[in-house]
Amino acid sequence: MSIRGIAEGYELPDPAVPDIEGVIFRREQGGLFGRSRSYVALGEFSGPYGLLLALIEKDELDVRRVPLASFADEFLRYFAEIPDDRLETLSAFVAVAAQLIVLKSRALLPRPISAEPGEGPELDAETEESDLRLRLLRYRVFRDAARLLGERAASPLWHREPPSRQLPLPSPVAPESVVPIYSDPRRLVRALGRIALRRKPLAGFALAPVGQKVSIGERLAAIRAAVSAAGVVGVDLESLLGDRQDRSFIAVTFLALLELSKRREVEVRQDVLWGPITITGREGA
Amino acid sequence: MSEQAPSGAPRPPATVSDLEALLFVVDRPIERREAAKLLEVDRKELDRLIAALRERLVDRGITLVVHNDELQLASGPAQARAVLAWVGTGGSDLTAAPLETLAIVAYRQPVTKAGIEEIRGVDADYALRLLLERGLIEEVDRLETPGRPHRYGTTLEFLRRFGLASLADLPALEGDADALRHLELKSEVAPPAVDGSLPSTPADEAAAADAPLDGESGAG
Repeated sequence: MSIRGIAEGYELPDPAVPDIEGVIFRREQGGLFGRSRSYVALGEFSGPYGLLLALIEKDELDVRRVPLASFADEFLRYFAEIPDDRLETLSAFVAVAAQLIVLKSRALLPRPISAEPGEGPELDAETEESDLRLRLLRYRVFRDAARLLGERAASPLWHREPPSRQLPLPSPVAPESVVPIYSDPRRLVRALGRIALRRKPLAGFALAPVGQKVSIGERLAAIRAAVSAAGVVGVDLESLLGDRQDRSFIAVTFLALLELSKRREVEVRQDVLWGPITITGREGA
Repeated sequence: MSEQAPSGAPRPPATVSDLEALLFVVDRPIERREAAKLLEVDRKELDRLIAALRERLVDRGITLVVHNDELQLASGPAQARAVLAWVGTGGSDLTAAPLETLAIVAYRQPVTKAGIEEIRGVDADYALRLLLERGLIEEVDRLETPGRPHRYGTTLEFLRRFGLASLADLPALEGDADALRHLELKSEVAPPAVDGSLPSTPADEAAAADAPLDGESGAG
């Protein structure tokens, strides 16, 4: 498949075709008329060295000797195709693109005849090129190692599973003490009154606030605040939930907690099965 | 059937089979210290038992995974398919970026985020977070340079997921292995004000990073 063809927008047979290793060509369906667009998906697949190396290797050229400046145009063409939603990745590509442009412009400029060999701007250009070449070679070692590792992932080693089926059940919740029937009638009335209070009228459900939304962002902020206020002692999940019983609040709080744990901002601990879940801030988070 | 010696009678010295049985029964990675205590042997004797057990398990369906201080019995890499039928899921779904990051950590450990970014030429935030989440790498220590950045190393989970019994089993690097050996990461070199021995620092750094690999291959 012609790489140039793809860059110019020809359609590919598959949505994702690994044509050059580490660089994946993608096709996107969208827009008003469902027009498809092809681009080189580099966002999180590979870095600038990966792209440059792939361009060099597709022509079966030797990275150790090939003049890198000659790849400036092609590199820029791919660069223009990168989706612009990953700025931190883009900046890395910009840095290498700039280096290539400098190398190319120096190669185009006439060299002063009087200059001693190995001096002046020529030396700078050579140093820059060899520096970039060294980085490419160094990157290649690890890229190739990653491929070998990837192949090994097909044959993992399995270990014995912990006997999760034998986990103990939670201890039964102690039932409320039964009021003996020979009790004082006034106590019985009070008890009945409490039960009546607890029981919500059916109509009440219809009046439940519908539009009350709780966002993960809010819960993230609330958990962060509670954790930092609690310090090393930590805060337990029960108190984070307070007396809110609605499912969405509990679910969103739980999601926010998972997110914080994933971001390694907090440490979540449960010492005993079914015991309290304690949340503490992580050092340096 | 062998029976537990009654208290008071001296227990016979632990054998390779004892270690094998212990590791078979324990359903989690066990630390060397813990194993030595349970088997009532000293560290040196335990190392000998480990080496002997490894030798015994060659050509068997199970293998001994050794990572730093942790030991665990696992199925062999050649048995992956056979066991997969029971386990249900397998293989790696890592894309190039996390895989490359993982390779850098595996071969260069311990390594900082800045070091990884220097090699890959691109931000490693996402890849590192993903690998940490999956438990394939962990923070091992901090580099004594300004900012004291974390240094990352691989875990026992990494060895298992990639079919390696130890770091010594990492695939040999092809072609430009020299580039790795002489790798000097600018981002990881301590400034001269902190360390007086500047000329030797990068070499030491590279040597220190290579040491675990060399040590493992020497032992295994």
